Amino acid sequence: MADLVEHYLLQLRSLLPAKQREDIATELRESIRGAVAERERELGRALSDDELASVLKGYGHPLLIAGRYLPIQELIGPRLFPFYWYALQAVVIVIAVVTGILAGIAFLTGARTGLQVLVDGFWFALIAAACVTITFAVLDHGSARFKMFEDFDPRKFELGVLGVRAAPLSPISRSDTVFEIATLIIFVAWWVGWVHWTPVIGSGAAIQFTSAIDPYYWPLLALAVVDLSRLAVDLVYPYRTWPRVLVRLTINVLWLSAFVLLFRTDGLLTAIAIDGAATADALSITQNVLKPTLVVLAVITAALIATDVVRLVRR
Amino acid sequence: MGDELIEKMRMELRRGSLTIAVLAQLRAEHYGYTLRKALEELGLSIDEGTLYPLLRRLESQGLLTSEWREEDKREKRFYKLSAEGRKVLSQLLDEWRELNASLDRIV
Repeated sequence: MADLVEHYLLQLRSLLPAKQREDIATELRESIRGAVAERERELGRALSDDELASVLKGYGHPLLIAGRYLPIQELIGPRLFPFYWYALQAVVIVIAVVTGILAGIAFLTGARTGLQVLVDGFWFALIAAACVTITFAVLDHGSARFKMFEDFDPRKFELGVLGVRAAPLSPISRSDTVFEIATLIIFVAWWVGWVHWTPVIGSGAAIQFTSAIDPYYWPLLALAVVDLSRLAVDLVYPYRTWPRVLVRLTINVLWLSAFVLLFRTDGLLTAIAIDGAATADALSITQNVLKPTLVVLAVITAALIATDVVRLVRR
Repeated sequence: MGDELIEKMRMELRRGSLTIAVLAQLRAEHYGYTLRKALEELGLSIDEGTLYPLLRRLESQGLLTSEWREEDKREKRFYKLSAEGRKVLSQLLDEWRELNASLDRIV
């Protein structure tokens, strides 16, 4: 009988904080003895193993009991968890769609590396998810420590841009903002090399940027950071005012210019042969993919610019 | 789903009440086992897996004091309310009475 109790406590001890281990185990042992003695008094006999097991079961699984003795810790608390969960889903969906398209292209072009694209996408998604988790954990702990959400002044919700205050024109969807932030974070992570992702398509060649991309590196990174800052403001103050529409319009004009310049720049990509495969086809395929992609991005950006122009004119 | 929801809400409702009950009962000294029995006799059952970690937490918050002592030839850890615990209990009871009175008026 004693063995059963000691085995239970042994399981528990291994999970308890080291400093309190002996103390807690001794106290619980004493408590279990008391419970057993009381039950034996009621029955007028010693407990069977089954009955003793039932008493121990009443105390709960050692893992659960030990958990209650540990300090309550959470990576991301309930305040920000819904936003974290949405951002995580948005990041994974964006990466899944991009990976799916690339894998599809690899498959259609007779590549033997479609699976590799999926594997790369999986690791990319994993790293991006970790980045999102760390970002929200820092935000959650930082906001609690500095009381970001407790000490607020409602008058500051009337946000000005460069000292210009204006009445709200319309609300901004927070889910759209989170989605845009997730997409931009993925772009930045890839652009600065936090996540390595080298598309491998065609006849087995790794596609890389050439030095022709160098002049675009810092301007595009700066633009992405500025855009992220704008989106962060949108997240906290989710409504449009004409100065803020103007800021977004300006940023989108810069994005559009970047897409046009990239489109007009030749030799942005090069293909590195894998296992001695020819590179010309791969390069040609990628350029055929890159240019239409830039066109699509430019059209979307132009549509956003047009929308903002209409908003400003209607104001 | 309905049962799960009710169980979750019941647990939330009990959580704060248990703390008050434990603090109030420890105005007189108890060790874990007798404390649990005393609460049970007064109609509030609490399982050991909840009670003992709660006692430790309240002690680490300075609301309880404890000491190991021999009783009936066995070493037992006795808990009682600290001076700080008395102040906190008094405030919590005031809050609880106000809340209870409001709820009585509402329902």
